[in-house]
Amino acid sequence: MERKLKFVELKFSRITPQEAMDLQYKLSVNPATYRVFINGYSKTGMIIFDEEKLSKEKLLEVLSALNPQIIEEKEISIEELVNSSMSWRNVMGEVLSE
Amino acid sequence: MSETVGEIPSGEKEFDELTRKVRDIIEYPELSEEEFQELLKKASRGYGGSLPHRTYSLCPETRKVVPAVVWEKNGIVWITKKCPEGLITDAYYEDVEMYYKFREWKFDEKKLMSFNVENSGVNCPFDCGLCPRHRSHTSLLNIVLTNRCNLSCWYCFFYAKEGQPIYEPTLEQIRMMLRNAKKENPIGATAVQFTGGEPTLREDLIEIIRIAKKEGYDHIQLNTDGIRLAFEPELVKKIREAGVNTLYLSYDGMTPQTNWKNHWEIPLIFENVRKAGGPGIVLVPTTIRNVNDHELGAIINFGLNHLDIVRGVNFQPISLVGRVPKKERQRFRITIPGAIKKIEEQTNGAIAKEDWYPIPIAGHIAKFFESFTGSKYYMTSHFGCGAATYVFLDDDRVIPISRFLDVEGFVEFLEEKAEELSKWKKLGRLEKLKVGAEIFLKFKSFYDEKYAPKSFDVLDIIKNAFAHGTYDALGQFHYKTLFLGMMHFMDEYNYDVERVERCVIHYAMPDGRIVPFCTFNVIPELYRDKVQAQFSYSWEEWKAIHPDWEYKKDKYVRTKEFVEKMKNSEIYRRTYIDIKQYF
Repeated sequence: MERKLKFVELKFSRITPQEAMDLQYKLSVNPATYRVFINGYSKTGMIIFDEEKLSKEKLLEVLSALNPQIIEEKEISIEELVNSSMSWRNVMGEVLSE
Repeated sequence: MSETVGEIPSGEKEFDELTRKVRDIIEYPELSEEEFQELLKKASRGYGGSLPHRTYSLCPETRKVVPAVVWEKNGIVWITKKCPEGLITDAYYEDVEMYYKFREWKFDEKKLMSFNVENSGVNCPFDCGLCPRHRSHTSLLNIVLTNRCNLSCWYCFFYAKEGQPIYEPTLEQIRMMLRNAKKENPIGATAVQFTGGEPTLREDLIEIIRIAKKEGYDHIQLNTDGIRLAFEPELVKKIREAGVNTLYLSYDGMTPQTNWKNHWEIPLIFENVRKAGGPGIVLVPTTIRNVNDHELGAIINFGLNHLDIVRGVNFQPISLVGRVPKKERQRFRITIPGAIKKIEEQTNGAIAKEDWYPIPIAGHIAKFFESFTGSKYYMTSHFGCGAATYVFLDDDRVIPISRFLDVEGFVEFLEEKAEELSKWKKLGRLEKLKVGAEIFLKFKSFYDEKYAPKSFDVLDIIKNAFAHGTYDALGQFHYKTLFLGMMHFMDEYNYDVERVERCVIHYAMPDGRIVPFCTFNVIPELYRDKVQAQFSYSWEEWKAIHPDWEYKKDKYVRTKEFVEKMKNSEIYRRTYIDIKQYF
C-alpha cells in the first residue's frame, strides 16, 4: 500500500538562524521525516513526515519552545513527493511565471 | 606479509600490517583562538578569494556548521574551524603555489536553473538537494544499485551484513532517478555511474544499463571490484554490448597487500575485457599516506603497460569520514598536491607537478565545444576538488601533454573562439569544417613538434576531432593516451561548504532528491544511510521476494588453490611481472 505522509507548513514567532539550522538537523536525522526545511530568516518551516512513525503531537512537542503555528497541513503520498521533486517541475523562471 | 586467503576478503589483516611502520607524517600547525579570530577578520569572502579565506565547515563531533578559515603556513594550505569543543585544523592542500595556479582556472557556470527541494540553501549542507543555491549541474550521476556486496571491507559501514535491510531500487525508481538528473536545467546529466555495494550482483544489471542508454546517457560506467567480471567473461561482453563505456575499477596498489581487493583477480578481468573488446578500464586507487602512497608511480606504470584496455588512473586521496583522531589524520591524510608530489618523485620527474591541471579547466574547453558542436560537457567543480592530465606513451617514453602543448594558451584561444562562435546561431557543415580547419592551423602554434610523440601522429588525432566536431572523434584521443586524474572527496575535517556548493558528482536518491557526493557520504545520517533505510526491504521481505537467494552466495571467498593457481599462471606473469618499467 502506498505510504501516506503528512505535510505541515509552520510559522515561528521567534527563531534565530542558528536555532533553525540546529532544529532542521535534529528533525532531519529522525527516520520518520522525508523533507525538512526550517528557515531562520523568514521564520517559517516545512516538514514532511510519516505520521505512523512520528505523531504530530510528538513533533509539536519538539518544536514547542519555538511557539510554532501550523499554517497548512495536508496529506501527501510518497509518489506525489517524488513527482514534485523532479527537475522539470522546478525550473526557476517557469516556477516564478506560474 | 599476511593476506586474506580462504575467507571473504576484508582487508583488515593487510591494513594492520601495512600500517605498523610510519614512513612520514604531516605536522599540523597550532593556532590560538586569537590568531584564528585575527585570520577570520582579515579573510577574503566569496569563491576564489585570496588566502586567508573564510568559509564554513562541519563539526565532526556536534555536526554543527561552523565558521572556518582556509589559510597558508610554510607553503601548505590548512583549514581551521571553530567547533564547540575547540579549534580543529587539517591539511587542505599541500602546496600553496598549486592552490593559486589552480584557482586561476575557476569556472563559474551559467546558473543552474532547476532544483529538487524547496529548501533555499540557507542551511547548507543540510538543505540538499539539489537546492536553488547549488552552483553546478550533475556532471556524473551516481546511482546506488544495491547495498549487497561480495566483499566485506573492514572499514565499510555501508554494505548489508547478514540479517540487515537490503537497499535495491526498482527499475522504475532507477528510471526516475536517471530522468530527474537528465532534465536538470539548463544542462542535464550525460554521464552515469552505477555503484553499490557491488553493482554486478544485480541480476537485472543489463536491463538497467539499457534503460540508462534509452534515457539518453552517453557515458555509462560501472564502479566495481571486478570480481564477478573475472569469473564470468560472458557478463563482460554483455555489459559492453548493453552500453557500458567504462569500468571504474578499484585498484589500490601493486601487491596482494596494498590491493587486497582484487590483486589476484585483475589478470582475469583484464583478459575478459580484452576478449570482449571493452569496456575501457579506469583504475581507481584510494590513496592513503603510509599505506599505498609509495606505489603511485608503479600504478601509473602498470596502467601504461595495459594501455590497450586501461584508459586512465583516477587517484582518490582518502576521505577520512567519521571520527578520526588527529594522530591518525597526520598519518593517513594526503591531499591532491601531496599525491602529485609523490608521483613526481616516483616517476623521476617524468610526470611533474607542472603537468597537472584543475578540473574546472574542462569548463573553459566545454564552452568551445558547446558553441562548436552543441554538445554540453561541462565539469565545473571547485578548483580544489580535482586535477587531471594526459600522458602519451611514445615507444618507451612517457610524455605528459603539457610538454609539447601549451595547454593554457590553447584553452584561452578556444575560449576566444567560443565567444566568436556564439554569435552565429547555428553552424552548418561547411562552416564547421572551416572553423575546424582554422582552429587546427592555429593549434599548431601551440604545439611543439620537438617534444611531441614521434611514434604516432597527435596532430592527426586533433585534426580529426576538429574536422568531425564530435565527441566520438575526440574519443580517438583516449586510445593513445593515459588519463591521470585526482578527485579528493571531503570528510568532516577538511569540509568546505564552498566546495559542496559547486559539486558536480551527485547521487540520485529514490525520494526524488539529487545530493552532492560529499554530503551524501559525509553526512550519511541525513542522506545515504537514512534515505536508503527508508527505501530498503527488511531482511524478511527480501527473502520472501527472493526465496532462492542466499546471503553467502553473494560473498566471494578467495581460496588458497585459486591464489596458487594464479601465482603460477602465464596470465599473472604477463599482467604483473613481464612488464616494462617506464620510469
